[in-house]
Amino acid sequence: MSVLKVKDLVVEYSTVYGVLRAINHLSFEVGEAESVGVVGESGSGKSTLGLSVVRLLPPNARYAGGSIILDGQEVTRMSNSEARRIRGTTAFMIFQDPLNSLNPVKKVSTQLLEAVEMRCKKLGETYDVEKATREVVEKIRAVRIPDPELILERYPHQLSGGQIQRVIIAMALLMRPKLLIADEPTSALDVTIQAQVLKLMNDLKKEYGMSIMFITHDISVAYNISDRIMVMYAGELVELGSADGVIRSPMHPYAKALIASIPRGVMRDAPLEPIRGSPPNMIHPPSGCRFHPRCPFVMDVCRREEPREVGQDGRVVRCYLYG
Amino acid sequence: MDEPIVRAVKLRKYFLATKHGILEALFRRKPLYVHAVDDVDLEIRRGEILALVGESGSGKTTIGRILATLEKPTGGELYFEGERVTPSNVKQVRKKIQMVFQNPMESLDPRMSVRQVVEEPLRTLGLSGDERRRRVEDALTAVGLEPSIFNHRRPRDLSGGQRQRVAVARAIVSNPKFIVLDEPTSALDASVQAQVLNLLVELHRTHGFTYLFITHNISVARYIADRVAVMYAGKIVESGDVRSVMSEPRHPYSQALLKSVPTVERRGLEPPTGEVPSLIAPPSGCRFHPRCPFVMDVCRREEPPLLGADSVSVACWLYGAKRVESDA
Amino acid sequence: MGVKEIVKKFLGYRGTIPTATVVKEGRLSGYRFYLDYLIKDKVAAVALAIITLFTAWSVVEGTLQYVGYATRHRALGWALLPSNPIALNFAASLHPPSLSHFPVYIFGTNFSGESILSRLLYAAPKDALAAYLVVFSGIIIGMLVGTFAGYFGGWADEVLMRVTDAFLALPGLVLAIALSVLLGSGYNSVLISLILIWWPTYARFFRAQALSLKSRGFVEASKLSGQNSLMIILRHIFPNSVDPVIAYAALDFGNVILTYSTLAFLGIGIQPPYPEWGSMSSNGLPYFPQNWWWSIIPGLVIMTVVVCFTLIGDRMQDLIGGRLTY
Repeated sequence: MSVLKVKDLVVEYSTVYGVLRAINHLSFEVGEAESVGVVGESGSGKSTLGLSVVRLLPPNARYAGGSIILDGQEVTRMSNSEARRIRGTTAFMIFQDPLNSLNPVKKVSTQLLEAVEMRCKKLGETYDVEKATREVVEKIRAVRIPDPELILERYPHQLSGGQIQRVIIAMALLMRPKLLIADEPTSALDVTIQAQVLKLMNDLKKEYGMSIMFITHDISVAYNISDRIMVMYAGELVELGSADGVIRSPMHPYAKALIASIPRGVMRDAPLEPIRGSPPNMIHPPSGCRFHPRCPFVMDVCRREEPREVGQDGRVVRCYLYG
Repeated sequence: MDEPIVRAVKLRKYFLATKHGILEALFRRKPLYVHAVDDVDLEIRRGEILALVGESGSGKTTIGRILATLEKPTGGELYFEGERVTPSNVKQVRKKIQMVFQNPMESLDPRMSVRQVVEEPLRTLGLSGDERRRRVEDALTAVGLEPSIFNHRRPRDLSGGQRQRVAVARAIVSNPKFIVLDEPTSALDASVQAQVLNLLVELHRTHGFTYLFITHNISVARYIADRVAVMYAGKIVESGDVRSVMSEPRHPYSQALLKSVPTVERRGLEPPTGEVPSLIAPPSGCRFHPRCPFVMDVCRREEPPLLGADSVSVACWLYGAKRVESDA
Repeated sequence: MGVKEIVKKFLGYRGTIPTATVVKEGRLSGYRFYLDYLIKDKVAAVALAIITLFTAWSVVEGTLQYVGYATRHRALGWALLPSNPIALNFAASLHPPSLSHFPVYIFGTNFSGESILSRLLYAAPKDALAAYLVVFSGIIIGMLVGTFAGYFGGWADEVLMRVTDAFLALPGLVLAIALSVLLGSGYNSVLISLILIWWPTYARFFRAQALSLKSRGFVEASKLSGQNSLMIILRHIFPNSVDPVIAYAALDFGNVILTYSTLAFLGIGIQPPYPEWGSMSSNGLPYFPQNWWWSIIPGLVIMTVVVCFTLIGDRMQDLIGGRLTY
């Protein structure tokens, strides 16, 4: 039973330049207690994907096709009040910029207690302050913040980026979501802090059985936190498979090129192979396969028609090289 | 190699932590300082690429700016090509130094055309208009931007990678001896980052520039540098030949740093505990001691000096006061 | 369409473009883009049309009035108007709005029988001149003070900002009244007092811009390239400070007109028999509500012009602030 099932999703933005199709017929699933890494560069649509699952798209975006089934409920056709109910409790989203994630005029303890209160209201439980406080302290400890009592009494501006992200993760644990969507949660953090937060998320996933959808542009980070990896390009899924599978034997030319462009070792030993060309224009995307202008293996058919997703044994690829 | 092109001796840079203006002076408040860079010695040899690696608060950007003469050090001396840099000769020295900044969107004037941007360093050199135009075209071609197409474009019409190339073109057009690059690829996508890195390597090969490459990305530092210096809380904790430092880091912080970097080679990160210390009141003795798994009594009391042979230097009491044996 | 939809349309949808959309055609700044955009947004287009009409008329009528005054042919001032705005005509006193003698009586007349429409049209250039002159002087003075303070910092900054604070602390209306006592109440003294109190906000604006631009890469690159401070300010700081100010200034024209009209309402500024929108409104108050047109219509006109300026300024701020709308 999958926690998230996205089928043939299409999301479009109306902009002053025209219609922008940010997600183009995307299908994938996230199972229970599984973490899926969504890897893509800017313009790939990965952030839009995260926002569309929790109905946080801006007003000029719309669901133009397909379905998103979150814990058995269809998200795209829900009413606003229903969407508000599932947001936070069924799926919880963590964003990139820690400084903007918390209310700056309320103490940490207040905000965490509010989260518990909200959860109780949405799930129909009774809210008891003492019980809630104990839960809050328990979860703050679970995210390995040193001196938890001190942190609870602080205001967000007194915390560091890493601490704020942990507080948000604690908030997520309090809401007990089935799915945690993290949109570049560690990109704004230092390397060592990022490692701490990633390790924490991994451990908590095992402990609480939470599914994670981890959105990032850094494929190395995705590799370290995901069971499966989905590579996106220009709003489409180009490759999906187990983390080891995709990294060790990438199939799609874009995935291959992405991995090959990571600096490894010293310059003189292994020169870098960049991906030629530039990211696509999303208002007027290339014809046929959207990667074809940059593909070293481009064939005639790639220029004319969009390849379909070809799947086998849990591996999905969108490329004519494979059928 | 003979005289290093850039030499910094006991550099110190303290910033005021809070505003200290007329009112504060009137009330005789004591000013608080951020010890961004504290007693740093650094040498860069002609034609080499030195990577300065560290996290936020390490002081690497500040050192870069001091070496680029954009900031005046609070203490210590800076030597360029053997000459001491003072306020009287800094204008002359600046003509031989250039810088590439981190954020490609911010480092180009959005109201100028590409040609105007790249031309700017040449305006004070007393060249003729034709000569300037020629040099701009050469620079643009060298960074892979066709002049006829890009001369009149504006930065807002360019992608991040293209903007960064323009920034590089601006940095090389005046033929500087020394280029400081402050996180030049951090704001770029992975695929574009590789393009820009290749470009920088190529230019280094053909023109023989000396680079100070500041980055928080270990993999990038390892790829591009000849030597690397690791910074923590305003001090250099380890420096040396890139292969030695990266494959066998000696300082506990370097070790922790390398174990925190996610790679596609192996899973499993082993981050250090704790966070970067406050620079207003840094820890006593060795600044890393509160987080160090090998902390000893002396670490809490005294700061270890940066000692070493040609190949590697470390600032850590684990290696005592005796010299570190070189690797090669 | 429900009420919600109508209000949403009026306020303008706020939406976003997903990051990193590389668009080859289409600009992201410059007059053409603002214009194209404002025209596409229906509400803003109407506002733009009204303001253009207002400004164009003010220029034409204002020039006529000035030429008339200079050549002692005052009648030029009302050559284009339906009727003489200051000619007493008690036979037509307090005539309600009607379509007779179109368009003279379309807004009715006041106690002296002067057509409200003619008086509104006659007074328009004064408002326009006040708006544009005060805002532009505010920008220029503010630009000099603010940029200098922001870029050089230190003592210059402290001193200049304290001076700015001092001017900011002056209550505008009170100052205007005081100056009108000193210099004699009249149009010029109102202009002077408005200019005196209007620049500090712009000084702060420009200072904030200078401060943020100072640390931008291209300014530092300029320094490295050997440019001196003056050149950096002229070539980099000034041109890049202007964009956000334009959007605010668009809003500000409306503010000036409102303040100017308020002063006129209180009796400071243009003196009778010459008309001014604000004073027309206040003079008509005793006759309200029976002869409502005298007081209400000038008020509506003020409101319309101010709202139009505000709408345009608001949309432009959205554009500049990156909140593009659909």
